[in-house]
Amino acid sequence: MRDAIAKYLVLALATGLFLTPFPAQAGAEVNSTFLYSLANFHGKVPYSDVRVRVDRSRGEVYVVDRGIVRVFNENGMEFFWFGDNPELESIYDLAVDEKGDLFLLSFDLSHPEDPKYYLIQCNYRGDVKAKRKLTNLPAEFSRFFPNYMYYRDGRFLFLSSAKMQVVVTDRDGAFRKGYDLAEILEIPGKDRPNTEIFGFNLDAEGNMLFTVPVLFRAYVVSQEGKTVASFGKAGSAPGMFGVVSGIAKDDQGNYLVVERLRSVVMVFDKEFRFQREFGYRGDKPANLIRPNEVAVGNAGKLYVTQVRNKGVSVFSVTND
Amino acid sequence: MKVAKVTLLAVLAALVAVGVATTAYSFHSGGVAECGGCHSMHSPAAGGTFLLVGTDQSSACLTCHEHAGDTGPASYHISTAPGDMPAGTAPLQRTPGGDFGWLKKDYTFVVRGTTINEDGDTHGHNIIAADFGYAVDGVNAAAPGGTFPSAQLACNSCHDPHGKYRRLVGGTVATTGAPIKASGSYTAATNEPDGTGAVGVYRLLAGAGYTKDGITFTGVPAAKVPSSYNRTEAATQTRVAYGVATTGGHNAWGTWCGTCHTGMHSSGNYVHPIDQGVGSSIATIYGQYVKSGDMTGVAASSFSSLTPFSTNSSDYTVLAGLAQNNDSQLGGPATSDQVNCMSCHRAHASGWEFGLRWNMEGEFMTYNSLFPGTDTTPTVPQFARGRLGAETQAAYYDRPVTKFASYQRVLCNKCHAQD
Repeated sequence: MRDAIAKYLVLALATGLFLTPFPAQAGAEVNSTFLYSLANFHGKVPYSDVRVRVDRSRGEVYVVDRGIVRVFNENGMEFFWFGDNPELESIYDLAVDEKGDLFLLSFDLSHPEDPKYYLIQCNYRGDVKAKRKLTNLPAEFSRFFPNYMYYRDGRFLFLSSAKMQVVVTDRDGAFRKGYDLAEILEIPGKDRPNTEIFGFNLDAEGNMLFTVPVLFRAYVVSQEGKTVASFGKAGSAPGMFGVVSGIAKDDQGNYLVVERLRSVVMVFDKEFRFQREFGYRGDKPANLIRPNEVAVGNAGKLYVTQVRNKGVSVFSVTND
Repeated sequence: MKVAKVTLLAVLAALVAVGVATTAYSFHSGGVAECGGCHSMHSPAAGGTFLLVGTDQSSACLTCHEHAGDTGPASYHISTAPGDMPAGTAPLQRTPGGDFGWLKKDYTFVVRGTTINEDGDTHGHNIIAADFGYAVDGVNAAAPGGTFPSAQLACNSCHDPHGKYRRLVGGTVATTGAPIKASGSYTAATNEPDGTGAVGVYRLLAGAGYTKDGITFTGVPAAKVPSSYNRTEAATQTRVAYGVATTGGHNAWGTWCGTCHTGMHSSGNYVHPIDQGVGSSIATIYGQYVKSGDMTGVAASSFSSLTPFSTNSSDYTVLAGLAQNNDSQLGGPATSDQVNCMSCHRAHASGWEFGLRWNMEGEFMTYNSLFPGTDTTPTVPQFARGRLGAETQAAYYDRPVTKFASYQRVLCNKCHAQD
């Protein structure tokens, strides 16, 4: 009898182990629908790996590609572009403040041995209003060189994804706070050179969301610099992390995580339980080819960047 | 009953392991990586092969080795995304092998009334990676000096994606034997074979018996590189310590490249010698040459990563000692040290035609103490070749112009001093 119980226990645990890579689905059903690709009057804009920013208060979408900013309306049609003014330097990222002023993260690479970056304030046409450098950076951030920029409540947040460092400044670019995310995650010094962030975003509460592909993990770090949560497991089954990249949190509280290897966007609920995934590699409109970044828009819209000139795909992600 | 208990413990242990797997991974670790990193059992690329996650072999590699959003050299990235290198800016990576992004840099310029197009295809090895915009070489149908078809060129033409070649404790290279414990490319003691395991060969390169599209490699070359190798050389140089190993599954560097570029190797061909000792005259010149017009150098500090050479040693610990990125090992060649293909070319791609480490398409690398550019030296477009001065500097891995003479002649002179 005891043998039989032990055998059943083994069987139950083995079954549990088998199912572990497929996290349980729970909560409201998540639906995703492909809507369209960003386009202009020539058709789909054949973007590959670009930066997308959404100004939700105005319903406008900004795409930064090779130093040029193109602006799309809420229906995904381009209506304006700028970036050819040398005063703007090489534009790499963009944020919009409450008044509609544009702020550019721009690089001056004219001296490769001493590259520089600027925070450039523009009006809605891309005309320069002010050009600033970050100031008062403490010694530990003296070599800081950001490649992502965000604006929230009067402050800018800059990220160096390779160094895993974050700098928060005021509107004038003066240092206010810094984070060493590698230190927060307690990554050993020997592993730091090969440990970097592939996807980053802010949620509505100001938490920092980011993915570290070599750790097969996504993290939520508070403004206080505490790891609020982390999730993800290495693997190639649905919901598992191969090479994870972009991350965002939508208005329903879902976490949206890009998985490059399987070319999908995975949806996790607010408890980090895997719900579903969509995309998959292919040439059909709803397919994706090595997606990279995601940006959340209004009415459940999700903007997904990818390669092979497949453009920026726009999906609707909703909870029933 | 006992069997059941043991099985129960094993299952519990496995469950715990699944739950706490948070260790960082270096992925290749000198050998075959996680299968799921490159292959997908249930959702491979449609129309692809081998259940790869990319449309083709190189696209699978670039899924990790290219990352949009880079601002400079970053870790293991060997290609710059197009969005990160707009017109007028150079690719960002500074690996010794070079950034494949240069293949996408076409330049058009006018010299004495003639419009010249410098096709990016000429800048290196044209790997085919459809997902990332890398297409077949538009000029050469086959490897120059050989028959390997350009239409098949991919990362796995030179690198064994499964990393089966390993260096055993005895120094020989084989595809079987002790398990591979780590990369053999780097300089730490842990990157050498010992009683616990073998190490991978340098950069997972193809070894004896590795066959692709009609060509078969006969050995792997020896080298060591600092673990921080993708970096600007604005302040200090990155020295790859190439070695000379020809036994136990090894080949000299020139022989290895000659597997595809047979007609380029000096064995039996009237071309520049390779895999040969530089001799006393060249060694002396290399040691003395600082820049055009300046022969006041000393051998102990004469190394230039723009003109590297093979140290005549098959001892990986010797090579590890030389592979530095802090300018602590800048000794020039001894007479028995060898010139190899890498002395002039980068393995992946460079800012110049034919993957060369410097611009050979004109007599001057610098002009009037400036890096030639359409902005810096507009009166001499033959030296700028459609680039901005900053692009030229980037092609030299960001060195300051003061490292060169005011009118620097091409670096053939590092060994031949005809300037």
